Amino acid sequence: MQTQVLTIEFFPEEGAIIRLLGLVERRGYEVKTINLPLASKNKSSLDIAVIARDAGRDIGVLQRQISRLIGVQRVLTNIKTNETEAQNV
Amino acid sequence: MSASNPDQFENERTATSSQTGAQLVVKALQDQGVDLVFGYPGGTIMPFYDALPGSSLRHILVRHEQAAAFAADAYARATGKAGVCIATSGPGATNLLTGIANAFLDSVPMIAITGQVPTAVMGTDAFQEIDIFGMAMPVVKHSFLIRKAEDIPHIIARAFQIATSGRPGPVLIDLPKDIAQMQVPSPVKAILPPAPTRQPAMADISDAIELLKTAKQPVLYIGGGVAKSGASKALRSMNEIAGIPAVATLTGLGVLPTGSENFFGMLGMHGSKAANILVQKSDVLLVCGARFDDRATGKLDSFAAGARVIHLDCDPAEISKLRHVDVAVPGALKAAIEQLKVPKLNIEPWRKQAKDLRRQFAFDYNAPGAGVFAPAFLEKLSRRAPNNFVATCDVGQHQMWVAQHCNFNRPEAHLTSGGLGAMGYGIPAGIGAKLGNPKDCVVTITGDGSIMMNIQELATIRRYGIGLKIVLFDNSALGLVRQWQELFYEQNFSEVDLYDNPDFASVARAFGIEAFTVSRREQVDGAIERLLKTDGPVLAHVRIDPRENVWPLVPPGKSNAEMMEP
Repeated sequence: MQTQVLTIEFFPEEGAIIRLLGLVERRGYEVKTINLPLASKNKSSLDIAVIARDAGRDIGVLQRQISRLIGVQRVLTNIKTNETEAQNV
Repeated sequence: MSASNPDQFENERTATSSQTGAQLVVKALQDQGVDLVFGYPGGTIMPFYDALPGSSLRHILVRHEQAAAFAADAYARATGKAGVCIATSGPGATNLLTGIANAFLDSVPMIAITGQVPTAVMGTDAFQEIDIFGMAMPVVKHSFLIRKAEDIPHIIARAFQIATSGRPGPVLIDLPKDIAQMQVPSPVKAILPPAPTRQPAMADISDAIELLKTAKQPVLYIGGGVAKSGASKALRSMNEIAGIPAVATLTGLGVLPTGSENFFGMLGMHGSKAANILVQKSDVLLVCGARFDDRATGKLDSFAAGARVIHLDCDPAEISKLRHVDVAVPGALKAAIEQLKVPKLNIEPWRKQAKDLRRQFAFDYNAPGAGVFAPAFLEKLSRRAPNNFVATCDVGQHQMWVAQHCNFNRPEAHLTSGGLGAMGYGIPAGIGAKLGNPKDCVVTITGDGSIMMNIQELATIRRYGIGLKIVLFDNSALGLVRQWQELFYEQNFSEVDLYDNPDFASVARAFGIEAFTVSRREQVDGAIERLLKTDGPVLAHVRIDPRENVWPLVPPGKSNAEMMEP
């Protein structure tokens, strides 16, 4: 299956990274690589390369599930048209 | 405070007085309008319990933390306010988890406050130290670990904002003991702006209306999100004009009254046959506040295979998660439904077909034998109960019978563990619902398996004189598991026989609760009358035939078109 890269911009509070990675795993994706550049006080950015563990997983759904996490500001995928602003619900 | 980062904030405080962190928690809860909390004390949460006496908070001491979470959940469902539960660290916190998960899966606003070991020993495997902040992450909408006492007012205000806004859910606040004991200047009351709500786009709503106008066989599919977003009235108004045949999920029951002209029952595994046939035959499915749960859809790829789908939901992540959506209307559900001005649809042949199906597949209450037939008991109970009747269910056959056979005039009248399916919910939920709305006629319907999961809460009922009525259907078995073993495991009955149950009426009386037992059909009228007329708590122990099953049934992995009947 295809590797896809998510770039997640988020507020760097306690637990934020494990919250993000945990969600990705729980929703049926294998995390292949992660890159966490040095964060500012108010914003971190996490690049995650993921592969769906089975067919039929829609990266757009994962993108929206990440977007609704509290503290997530923006989620981008390697598909250019699929940029979403955070929609905390 | 940054608008984009609401959890980044500066603390406002006055230096006129000081309080402990625990006192700040109590004050912050009061500031949020909380008057009732459910909890159980222990080592690390003791500072909170030290600050509690003399406050305006009423604390209900349960006998197991799981019950605190379930009671808070039901209190929230019954009142529309966030429920609050409190426990100590370690086992207290882990005991809350099932209840938190229950609230998460059914989108119930809840604040769970847990004690934690002092910050200096966190991470050292200290006594009763468990990383509940980490453990709870998959089952909370958000969580906080308080590191500074002066942050408490803001964090609690933010927790309530998160729990109650958008798609509601539980928020965990972990409070280390040293933070709770720390003296800090009293901050001013934290004021937070309302959480921004995404509004539905008019273009999406127009698309939905246009698609509905083309429909020849539309069906309205109502989920639990309708009531949670306060959209029940708007939906009723919309459909009074449109006249679309409607079905509901387990948690969507009551949005349209059970007996209303346009309502055709619950869909899914134990839904009505009419509801499932209608959905399967539909050409346009108008889905409001539902998430295509597998218990509702059955085999997904054959679910309403010929239908184009319109999906209204406050959570964009639910759109096309499981079923492709043709017209998506993400955003505030109440606003979306209010703007969905569907004209009266020209679908009379379809409406007639729907009514014929409802008549053809109406439930039959004429069961053979002299024993109590639980569906008939429940149908009669809900019919004779006053308008403020509320059923809180445990999980199993009785739960499905309640959904199938009770009449509900409002969604708050049916409190059930939908997504999690947690046995043990019923009695604590009854406590929470009755304390939330004391004038309501609250009846817990439970089974002999489920009641044993939180039977200790009879002591809570007794202590506070909670006028909860309990109907215990006793088939001396784990009935729903037994039913599956009979139907799908070649009658290999494995670990489902509860032949050695205690005498439940005696148990209830030992807790100081009035109780009686019935086992014959001619006793049903008297039992219901006694149950409804008793002012205080009362338990009706109703013996039923263990061979009685829940019908109809969609076998696991099958299409909703393939319902089994007796």
